[in-house]
Order: sequence, then C-alpha cells, then structure tokens
Amino acid sequence: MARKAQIIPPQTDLKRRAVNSKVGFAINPTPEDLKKIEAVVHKSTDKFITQAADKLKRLREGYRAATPNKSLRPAFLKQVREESLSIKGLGGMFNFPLMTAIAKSLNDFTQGRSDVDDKQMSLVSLHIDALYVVLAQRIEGEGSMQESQVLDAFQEAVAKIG
Amino acid sequence: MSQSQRIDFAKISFLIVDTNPLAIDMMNDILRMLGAMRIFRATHVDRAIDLLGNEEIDIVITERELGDQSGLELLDLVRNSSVSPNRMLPVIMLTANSEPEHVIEARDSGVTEFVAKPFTVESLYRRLVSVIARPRSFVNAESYFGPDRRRKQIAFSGPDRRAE
Repeated sequence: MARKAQIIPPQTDLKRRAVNSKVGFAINPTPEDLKKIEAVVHKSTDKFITQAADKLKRLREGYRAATPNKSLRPAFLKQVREESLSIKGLGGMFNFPLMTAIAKSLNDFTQGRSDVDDKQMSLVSLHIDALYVVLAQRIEGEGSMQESQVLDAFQEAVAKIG
Repeated sequence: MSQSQRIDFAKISFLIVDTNPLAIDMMNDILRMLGAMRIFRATHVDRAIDLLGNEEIDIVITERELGDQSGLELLDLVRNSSVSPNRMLPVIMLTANSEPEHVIEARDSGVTEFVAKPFTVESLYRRLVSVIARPRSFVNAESYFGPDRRRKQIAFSGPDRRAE
C-alpha cells in the first residue's frame, strides 16, 4: 500500500528573525523603493554590454572555425545554445528586450540539435549579426517597426530552414 | 499580514549560484541594496554544496543552467540527500528557460519559487517576501519531498471532495 503523504508545518524561523515593523525594506514596497532596486540593476548595464560583445565575438570566431570544418559544429552549437540562453535571460533586464527576443529565437533553433547543415549555419550567423547590430547601435526597448519586422523574418526563416 | 511590516534582510544569509559572474554581481548588488550582509557566491554545484555544508545559509538563489551541471541537481541534493543541512531550505530558481515544462519540472523537484529571466525587480522581490514572510508547509510523500504545491487553501463546506 502506498505511504500516506505527511504534511510538515512551515519553518517560521526566517519570518521570526527578519519580519518586523521598524527595520528594513517594506513588505509592500512603494514604486520609489522598486526604483531604487532597479537603479542598482541599471548600474551594471555597461558590464552587460561589454560581456555580451565578448560573447558575440567568441560566437563569431566559433562560426568562422566551424563553417569549413563540420566536425567542429556540434561543439559550436553547444556554445551557441549556452550563450544565447545567457543573452536571452539578461538582455531584457538591461532594457535590451530585442536582444532577448533574438537570442530566444536563436536558442529555440538550437534546442535538440547536435548538427547543422550549411544553410542552418547561415541562419545562426544572421542571428549573431543581428544581436551585434542591436548592441552596437544601443537599440534599447522594443525597437521600431523595422526591428519587429526583422524578428518576424527570423521566425519565418527558422520555420523554413529549421 | 500588516501592510506596514518590513523585512530586515541583514538577518538573512544568501547563497547565489550562477556560472555567469555578471548575473552573480547583479544579484549580489540587489541583495546588498535590500540590506543583506551575508551573501555567499558559487559558480558551480560542487562549490555550492561545500558552502551549504560549512556556512549557515538561509536562502539559496540558483540559476537552473549551470554549464554541464544543473540547479536541479543542487535542489535534489538539498531536498533528498542525507547530507543536506536543511531539507526545507528555501530555494529560488532563476532561468531563461521559462517554458511550462521547465517550470513543472522545477516545481516537481521541490523548488520553493521559480523566476523566469528576464525578470523585473518587483517579481524577484515578491518571491523573496514570499519565502521569508509566507513560508509554506512541506509535503513528505513517497515520490516527492518539497513545498506544498497547492498554493491556495480554499475553504470548502460541502461533502468530502475525495470521498471514496
């Protein structure tokens, strides 16, 4: 017979230690409180730009090496999968949601793949180039209609070539 | 809970686990802004396990993707290993892989809170408040040890819902 589930009461140690009415951050923060925290995140924007540029540089190097040498493509794909996931996660936090969207398209494309043909390699390269453009031109926010069309084009290309 | 209550983050220690130094720095800066003073950092699971065994850590904030390892492995160790310092330790998992299957997998592995990246500071803060001020019961079942996955306790006055 299956064992019955046991319900264990919540541990209230943290609550007892930290929740009070005088010291610390409000449980229900004001918009000003939240802005203070956001300012901390935005302080790191330059670091994000430097890191993303470095990741994209390494991806381009990986692409150049793996284009003529098919044996390098599985490792390159793994690199693309990891770096695109990282950019997808952080881009939007630093007001680069377009980078998040392009990186998501690239990451989705690489999921479950261990190899790619030449056409698919070109599609990966186009994504990397687009990420570079967004970063180099500091396209913050959602971008314009043109950027939105570029994203749509990526989705179509992924559907067709993928 | 009173609207005017506050959380003294200086009374709580954190462990941040992420392979990306920028992500660790950013989380560290957010926690410091909130008033936290004891913040430990690890860039891989082995170091995190080491810190959990040797330091008093109250809340773990871990990325799901940790290179060749996973935040789920760390979560499994906390929840199910005999060497776990506290099987009920709150674990907040962050990830850019926010597809429903990943959320369900983390929930079924016993995660306390799940935050999809990119996140807003408000959504992160609400998760922190939740684990500190509104701790949940735990369920110890044959195939699951973790926070009660039923979020809302709705009063029910009719006949037994699970009557045989």
